[in-house]
Amino acid sequence: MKARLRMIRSLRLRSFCGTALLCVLALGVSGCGDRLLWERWEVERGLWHVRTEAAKLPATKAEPARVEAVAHLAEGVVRDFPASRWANPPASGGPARHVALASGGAALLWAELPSRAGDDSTAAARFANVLQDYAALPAVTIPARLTRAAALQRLGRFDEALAERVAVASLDPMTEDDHRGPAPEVVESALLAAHEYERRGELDRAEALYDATAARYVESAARARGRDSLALCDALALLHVRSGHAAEALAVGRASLANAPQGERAARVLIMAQGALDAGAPDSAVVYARWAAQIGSSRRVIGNALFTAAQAWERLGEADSAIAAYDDVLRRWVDAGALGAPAHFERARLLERHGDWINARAEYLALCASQPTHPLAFRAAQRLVQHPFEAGEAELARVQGQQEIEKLSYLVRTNFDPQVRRQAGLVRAELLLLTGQVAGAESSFVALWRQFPGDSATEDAALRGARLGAHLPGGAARSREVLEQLARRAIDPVVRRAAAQELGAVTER
Amino acid sequence: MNVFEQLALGAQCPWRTLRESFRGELWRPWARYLLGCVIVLLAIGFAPHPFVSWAMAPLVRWAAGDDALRYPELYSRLPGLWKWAQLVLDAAVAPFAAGVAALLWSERFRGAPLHAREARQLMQRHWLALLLASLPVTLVAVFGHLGLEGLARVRLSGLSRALAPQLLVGAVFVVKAAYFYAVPMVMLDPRGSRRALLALPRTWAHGLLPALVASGALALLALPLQLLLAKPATLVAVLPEGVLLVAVANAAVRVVQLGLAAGAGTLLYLSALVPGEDER
Repeated sequence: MKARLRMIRSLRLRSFCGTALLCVLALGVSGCGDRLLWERWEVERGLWHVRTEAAKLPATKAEPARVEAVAHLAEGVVRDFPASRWANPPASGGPARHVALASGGAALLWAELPSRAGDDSTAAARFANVLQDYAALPAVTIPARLTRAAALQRLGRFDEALAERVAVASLDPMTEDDHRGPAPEVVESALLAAHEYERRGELDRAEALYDATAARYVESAARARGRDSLALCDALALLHVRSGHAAEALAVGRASLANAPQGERAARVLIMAQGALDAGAPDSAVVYARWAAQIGSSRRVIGNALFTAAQAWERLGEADSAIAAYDDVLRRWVDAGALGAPAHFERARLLERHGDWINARAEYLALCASQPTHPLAFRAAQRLVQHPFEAGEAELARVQGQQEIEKLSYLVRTNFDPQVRRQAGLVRAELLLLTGQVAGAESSFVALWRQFPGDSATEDAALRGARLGAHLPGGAARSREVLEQLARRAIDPVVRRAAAQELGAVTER
Repeated sequence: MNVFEQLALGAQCPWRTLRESFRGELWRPWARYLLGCVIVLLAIGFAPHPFVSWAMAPLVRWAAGDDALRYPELYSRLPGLWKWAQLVLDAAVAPFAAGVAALLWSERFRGAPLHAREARQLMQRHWLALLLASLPVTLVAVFGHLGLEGLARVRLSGLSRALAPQLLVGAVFVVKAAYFYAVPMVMLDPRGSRRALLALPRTWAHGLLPALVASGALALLALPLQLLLAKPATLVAVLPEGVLLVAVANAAVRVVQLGLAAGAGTLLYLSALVPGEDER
């Protein structure tokens, strides 16, 4: 009995010793793991939770307390994984770089969140901090600059916003090594900034920006290989198109065509045709569009090539060839797809311009009936009323106008798509004005802006409404109020300036 | 036995087993398997933690790439990783637990007292036969999974691509059913384990249909959680750690399923397939 007890005790002792040994081994190896993997895990988990919480907030007019709570979460992630440790300088790859990027992602959210509660000035100030802290990480600085530019734009600090876009445009397009290939934001910023210079009438600066950006793209394209090189060439061609240098754009297109895979050639030739057309070389556009239609196999490529050829013929003054090309788009397939409405509209417009109103009207009516919510259908409705006015048939125009206004009113009341309601509302207001219902037009223009604020088209409509209201009996005060609001918070700088000028004139009167 | 009797037997086996299953001793052989599942799942689910990353990070990286060690990507890929880990556990641990369980269930069905220690000792004597009895199921599961993964890389017509996964899953299910009572046969057959294995195909004339019915009924137990794990992206979008919780729950349900399958297989074998005196 004693021997048996001793055996049991010895067995228990052995199992205890085995367990203890296992525990010691486990504790010993527990420090052997890669700590960076866990740090990356922690920061990415923190960022995921911040992003999930931020996604629950509305894009505008969020409750400041909720915004602050989410910003506090983001701040916690940034505090635990500070830029000073992870992003100055960031590791070139591996988990440490991922930590820096996730920390930057949290910092971007922390900076962006105040905008959701309408506090753009705090957001702009926070983005300035982020830019300073993560200066060595383009994956953070590029979105930081662009989002800051948007916030500054909303604040009316247009020069600073433009400076941020120019700063992004001046980067090397291959600077963003965390995403494979060139950063699309660089060329987009260059185009936006140049467009803004052109709007301001500073054509020299726009030209200089185009040239400097193009030079950087040429340098980068010389270094890049394969897909990157093709993407850079596309961006460079786009820059040349926008700056009106058709020959350079086509030269870049031809160079990239030589390196493009066989399956992409037709689409690239089509892009060259569209580029030539945009850059003011319609004769080249016709040649390239024909080529694309010849070698293309998909409806998308062939249809767009025929459409581009039609536009180019129109620019060359060959209306019959243009109409024939639009006919080809509509007749080649049973369903012309996305090109159906533009082909109908363009064909109708050409027919109208060449005096064939009967056929043009039939095309406009067909478009309005077949795709009533298409943006071009609204323009067709507008033409159906405007043409009789221009032809001196005022009574016919008024009757037609009243019919179209009723149809559009019904659409505004019943359609769920805000874009459709917005466009229908704009055309309805235009038609009210056209048919002499000035008070209705004024209130419609202003109501649209109140319904869709932060949109340059509705801001422009509100400005027109305010101008109309100034001449209506009893409308001066309302007009003044709208102008004051536009001058204070319109996001379109042109509208804001115009509203300020108008306000000055109204005050003087 | 005619077809209707076979169908009735197939339905009765899991039902009777379920009614007898509320005794802790019957589940003790599966404790180690469940513990193994939970440890492996936690090790995968927290692979980047320094406590386990020295062992798990290279494995996960090898199986699913470096991005699989990131949050929440690891949880998106966890069901795929767990599938392979489970195959290893099923091949290396489950047959022995099933062997002990088969003996305990047979004692339970006979109304005899349960002797876990003796059952373990008997299982250790038949370990090779147990491994061999589980080998076809393991092999077909491995090739089934490889086949399913390989389908993505093969050119197939639309109909074939839609039907091929179902056919593969069906084939795995039939083979599993064919070996449904292989472990009880190895442990309980009076002719000895090797002869029992050789005699298994001869039993399919009477045993395959009830085994198919019983396997199908038991497979329904784990189906809801398996469907959840089949589309982890939905869970990851809401709560990534939820995938780990569902996987642990699925492992627990699977243990119940395996335990009941051992019981149902034993009952099926004892009811209709024990060789008569003339066959001995």
